[in-house]
Amino acid sequence: MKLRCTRGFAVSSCAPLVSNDIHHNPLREGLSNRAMPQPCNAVIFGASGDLTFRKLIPALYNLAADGDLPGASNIIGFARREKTDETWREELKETTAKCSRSGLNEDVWGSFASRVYYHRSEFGDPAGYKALAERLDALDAASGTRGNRLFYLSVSPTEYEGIFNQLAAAGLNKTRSGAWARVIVEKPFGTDLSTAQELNRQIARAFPERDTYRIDHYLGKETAQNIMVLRFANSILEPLWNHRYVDHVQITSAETLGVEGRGPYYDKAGALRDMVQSHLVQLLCLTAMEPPTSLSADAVRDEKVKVVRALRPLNPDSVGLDVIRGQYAAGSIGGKIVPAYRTEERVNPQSKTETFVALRMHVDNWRWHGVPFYMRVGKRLAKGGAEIAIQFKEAPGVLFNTAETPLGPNQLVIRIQPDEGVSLRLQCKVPGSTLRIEPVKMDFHYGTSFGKQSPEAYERLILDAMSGDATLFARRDEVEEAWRYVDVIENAWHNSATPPPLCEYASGSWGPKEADELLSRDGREWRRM
Amino acid sequence: MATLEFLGTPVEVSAIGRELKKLWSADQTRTRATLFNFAIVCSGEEGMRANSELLENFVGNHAFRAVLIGIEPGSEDSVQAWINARCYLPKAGAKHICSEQVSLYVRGNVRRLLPNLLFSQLDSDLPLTLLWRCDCSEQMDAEVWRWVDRLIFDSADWTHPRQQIQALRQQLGNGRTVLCDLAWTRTLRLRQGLAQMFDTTENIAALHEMTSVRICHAPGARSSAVLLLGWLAAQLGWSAHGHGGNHLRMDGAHGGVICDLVEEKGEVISLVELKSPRMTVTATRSEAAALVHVATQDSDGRTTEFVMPADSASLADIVDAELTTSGLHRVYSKALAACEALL
Repeated sequence: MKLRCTRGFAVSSCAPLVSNDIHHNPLREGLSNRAMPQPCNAVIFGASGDLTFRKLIPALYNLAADGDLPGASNIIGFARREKTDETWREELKETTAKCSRSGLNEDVWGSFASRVYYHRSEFGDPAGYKALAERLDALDAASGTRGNRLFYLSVSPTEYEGIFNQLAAAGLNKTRSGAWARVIVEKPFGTDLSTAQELNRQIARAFPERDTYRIDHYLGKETAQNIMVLRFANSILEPLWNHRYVDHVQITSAETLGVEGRGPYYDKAGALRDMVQSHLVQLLCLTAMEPPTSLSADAVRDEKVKVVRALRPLNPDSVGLDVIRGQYAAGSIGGKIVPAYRTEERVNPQSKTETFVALRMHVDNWRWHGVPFYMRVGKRLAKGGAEIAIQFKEAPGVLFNTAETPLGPNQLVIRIQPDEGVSLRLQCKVPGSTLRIEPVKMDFHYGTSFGKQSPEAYERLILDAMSGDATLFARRDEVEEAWRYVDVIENAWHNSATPPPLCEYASGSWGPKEADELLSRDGREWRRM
Repeated sequence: MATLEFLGTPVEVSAIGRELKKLWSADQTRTRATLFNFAIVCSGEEGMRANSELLENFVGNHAFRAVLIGIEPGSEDSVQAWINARCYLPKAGAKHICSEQVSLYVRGNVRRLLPNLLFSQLDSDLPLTLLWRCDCSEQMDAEVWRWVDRLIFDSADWTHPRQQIQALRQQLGNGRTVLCDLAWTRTLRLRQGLAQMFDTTENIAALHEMTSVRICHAPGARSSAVLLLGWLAAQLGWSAHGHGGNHLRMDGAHGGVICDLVEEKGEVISLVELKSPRMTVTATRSEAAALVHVATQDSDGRTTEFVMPADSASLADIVDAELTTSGLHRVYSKALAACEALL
């Protein structure tokens, strides 16, 4: 497939995602079309945690190696364990060498590590925050970070309230004029609507919404970002992107993996809370939203939240019809026998947690009237991958698409992972003297057309937070509206006298047969991935 | 006849399209990718060899149809052609991803033969990037220039860059072709490093109060140094006095700026020193170092230091950076306008 394209967001063809009005450095013109990250002191709460070691520090290191991390920035790890700057740096170096996509260059690491510090404190200890404030002030003075602060909460949500309270008590949530204090929080953003609202209230007591960045790494993926470009930079697609031409949409996120040591967390969360409420609803929003008035964070998020609000509300009866839940039994994947969910390590042997969900959803607005959105997510499925498939209506039943020789519909598939790309299925005549028509696939692969490695999602998102660009982060109302939708399902499953069944499926299959029936009732079937 | 077997399978010019189809249908383990046409014009057999090797460097990063054209002006017309696939394996077990290369060796009345030869080999509906690798502008027909979307050249190779850039502009005429000067691309990382030092409010004030600039460049790299100075002048609104030389004064909003260009052995740009009453910023690069050391020292003696990736010295890396950067190069045009007289 050939694409005429100015590779990436070339300055020539695309406007910057946000304007950079915080400071005006004339030497920055033309060097990058994205908003410029500003030097800051980044404080990571949970400095001893797995995410910090495997993702956050390697992401920050890669930004430094690529010259994208503002040179004056400092990174301060905040955790309970007793460590010195030096011992933390040594530990980080070892894992960064393993986890960094670009390996580890000694000179770059040396320069980067000289700006990495460790701050030991209990999360609830006021003295620890007072000392942190003094340390940040000293770093501001020494490095020219001018009071800019980025707090990254890589800790259990149960710690959030204490941390927010202490940050506010130490005055760390406020900073001097012209500077900023922002906070990045990791999902889960609550476990239901009321806990999400409570969490948001806790955040709001310390940080205004404009400085709150709820990170969903799915949105940092290249293909997720490409959904808007595909829709709104190509004039041929948008006229077709509605109920007149689209028959239905399928959004799939499939994993071959099981819970992989996350049993205690997953057993409480389940697939609906873990994946649907966050990642998949975000993909649905990007697919279904109206064109935003600009590419500013709020313009984009305003349109996304309208989609969630337009989701047809479910009730206990419709949950039974439109939502299928399943749990994996033993089976085989890749030629190996794998255990049932209930026999996984640290999982309740009587667990009723769903590892698979399939939903039929409706976006009740003008554009999508009568177009179902089918969503499925699951663990231990036949094949791993995430994609959005737009299935168009069939050609009229005359000429070629007749009852005797029915043709399949056109389908546009946006592959989120792996093998990121876009494919379009068309009908074509098979060469020969007879008229035979077969589907062919026009296929665009990121990996083929753009050889360069994409930055990791965390790199992009951390840089966005440093730049003040919240486009790829979830806003409070988006999160709460998504919980409002999901809560009805959770309640029907767990608080109803006659809950819908938890269907079993064999590991390595494509989920329970009831999920297939969800579509076959409508005369449709899941796409073969 | 040129014996350039390293260019692939020799084919008749009229059969290039057909032979390319055969090339792809013969092997199902390969897949083909094309996002733009990438033509290289060079001279002589040695040029063909060097530039064919150069192309090898870009296969993994850029999907293009390569059209390598060697020219040898003379009295007798002849054209030889070769086709080849350039492949890489993105990961074990995957298909090889390949770009195709058409090579043409043109003798005789090049100016007359070249337009049709080039146009007929371009993949349709894709932009044309032309890498200019010879001193042969008189051999280029105006028709060819009209098709070029991006022209990559290296003013560091030119003996009279100012006159040659003017001549190039005249030949291009259209104002549509994006000029991509590798002497400018060669300072990309350095500009990023310097720009970063002025991201803070305090340092921006110093930027506008600059009193002197000193740039040390390697012999043969003056155009990069001049463009770097032109960049500072254009972005900071300085105007130059005089028409050349290595020591000059520019006028900025806060007074005069003394500018020195110093030639010394070392990297393309081995030192940039920017001085203002508030602070001094220096970017230094030792010979063959992969990193630039950037430091600031304010009037109270406080210093900050960090390292940045340096611009590569390799032609392949610089062309690769240029192909990746894309864009209209408006800042380059401003920098060039601000310092053209110094080239």
